[in-house]
Amino acid sequence: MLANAHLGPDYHALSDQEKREHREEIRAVALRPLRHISLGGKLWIAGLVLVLLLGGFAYYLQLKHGLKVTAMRDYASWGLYISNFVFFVAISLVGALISSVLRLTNFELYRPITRIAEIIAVSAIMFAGLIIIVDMGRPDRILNLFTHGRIQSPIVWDVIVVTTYLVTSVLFLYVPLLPGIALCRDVLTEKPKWQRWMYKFLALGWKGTENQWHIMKRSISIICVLIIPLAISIHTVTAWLFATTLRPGWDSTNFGPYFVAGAFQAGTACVIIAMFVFRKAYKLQKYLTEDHFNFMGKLLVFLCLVYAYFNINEYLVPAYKMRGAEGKLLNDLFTGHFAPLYWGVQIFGMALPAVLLLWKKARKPLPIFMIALFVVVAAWFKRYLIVTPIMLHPYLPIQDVPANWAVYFPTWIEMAIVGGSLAGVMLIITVFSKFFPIISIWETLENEGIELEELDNPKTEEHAK
Amino acid sequence: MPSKHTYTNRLRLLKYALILVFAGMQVAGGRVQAQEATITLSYQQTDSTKTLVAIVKSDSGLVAGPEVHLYVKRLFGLLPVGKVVAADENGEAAIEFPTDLPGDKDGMIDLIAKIEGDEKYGDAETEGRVKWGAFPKIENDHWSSRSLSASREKAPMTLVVVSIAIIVVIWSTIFYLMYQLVRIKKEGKTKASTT
Repeated sequence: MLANAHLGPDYHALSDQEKREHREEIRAVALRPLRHISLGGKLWIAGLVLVLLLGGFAYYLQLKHGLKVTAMRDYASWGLYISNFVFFVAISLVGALISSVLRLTNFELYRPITRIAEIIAVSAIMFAGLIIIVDMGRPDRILNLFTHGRIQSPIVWDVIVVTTYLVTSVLFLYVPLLPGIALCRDVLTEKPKWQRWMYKFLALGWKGTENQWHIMKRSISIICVLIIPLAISIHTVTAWLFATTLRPGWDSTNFGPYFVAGAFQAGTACVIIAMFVFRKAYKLQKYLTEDHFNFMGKLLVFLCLVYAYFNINEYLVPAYKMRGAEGKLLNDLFTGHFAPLYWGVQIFGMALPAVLLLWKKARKPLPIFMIALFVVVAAWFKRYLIVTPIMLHPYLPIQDVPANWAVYFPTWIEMAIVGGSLAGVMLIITVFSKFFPIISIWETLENEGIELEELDNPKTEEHAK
Repeated sequence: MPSKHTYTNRLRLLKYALILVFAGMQVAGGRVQAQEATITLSYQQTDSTKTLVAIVKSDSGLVAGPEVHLYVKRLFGLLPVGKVVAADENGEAAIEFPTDLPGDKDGMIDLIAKIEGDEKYGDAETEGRVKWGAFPKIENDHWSSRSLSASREKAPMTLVVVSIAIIVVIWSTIFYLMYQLVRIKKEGKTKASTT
């Protein structure tokens, strides 16, 4: 059965020497990116740092001159930043989907992917928090949110749930990583002193005792259960930020599940892209197999169809009535100013991927990578369409404003900051993969039938080489 | 030889003719210079009625005839109030003001009286401010009690209890997980000391 396939060799049929070589091999493959960085890797990191710095400079200008350097005015008081925030929150949900839902439902194929999903979740939710601060006119007053916030306000709920989800996601990344950090501590002795100290500190004295394994696995099970309601809450509350506001296009009871469905779809596409890149860059073909891409392709088809269902609900029902301001908004989306973007997103980000991925050939690594790219780009623009056109169609007219305030197109400063945040997310994922194994070694080997106590003598095996 | 009286009559006729020609030219050019009218407001109030009296004057004194429109400034425009009343021979247009129109928090109302497109006097307008607004009775009794729209201190108790309960349960679990990390560390130390 695909879900429970053991992708490695039949471990029990191997001799002791072969077993040891097998363990050494996966360790070597997993630690290779930590030992060596290619020229391409250096250029990639330099490029990301450059974009991040440009974003930082743009934010400095925004701090200096205020939000007037953005295109946000009385009409579009939420623009690119909030669209980006929703996108980051969306893709952060994939940590819960891959690492928790698949783990709890015994889809063993999650094992080599789980860490990729978790680091995407952690980096995305970190920048989701940051981008909210960027959107504030007076970020120095952020503490007021805690000292003067009202529990009745969905914004306060969002702050609470984002913080909670960030902490839980870090734990979900960290706890299963302990044996991997201990491996780095024991094996990567050629690394600088500070890095060895970091491994020693973070490994928490991991020795791989039976009790340590027991505590770790029990903790993982608890986080698995904890993170599912948290993940659903974080995106539902983000949806409520909009749905509790009386505006055409947001005034919907459908918004929570609509956001969650879209988040799972976008996050899965992000994981597919990361899988492809890591597989290629770190030569992980043996562990991120075509079966994994095949499985993720099927999952993406399912999620596209679920999201399509919610989209039909979200747009068809109000379009049948075409009521007042909502009618104007829908006309603007269907045939007006936003029509090319709207139909582009629906077709290339949802309909076509769902159809194309029905063919097995499209679920091969390269085609599915390209399809996932379309899904992610469309997912980003989808959030832009959820936020901006609605801001431009209020129920009550805004009086005595210049005509150009009734349209919104982001300034270069907004684009640079958002570009910097996207680069920041990718930089965290890249740097993480240069310090820690991007594949969970113990989870992958465990799936092949290796007893956990056999995993924890890397030093011995390293010396035996 | 024409007498002095005849000259005077001819000059007078010429003068009237010139005035008529000039006036004709103005009318033909559609540039009749309206006389300027000004409006002053006075407020009369009895127990049950409120009447705004607009007094219309021009340079030559009180003016009868022009219709006076009364408006109240609202959030998104001007609200027409009362009937349109023509100024009487005393130049007065008395407009009955509704007693139930809400004012601002102090009961003040911003009034505008206008003469709009009068043939003789064109447009004129004046503004006034009077404490004639009804104090709107706020139906939201929740303001002073616990409600979703109330201040931070007056959040609904159920919301406070449920929120705190959820936060306590979730964060207790998170702290428990952190404690498990401490246990893992202790376990490592114990193992190290026994080996």
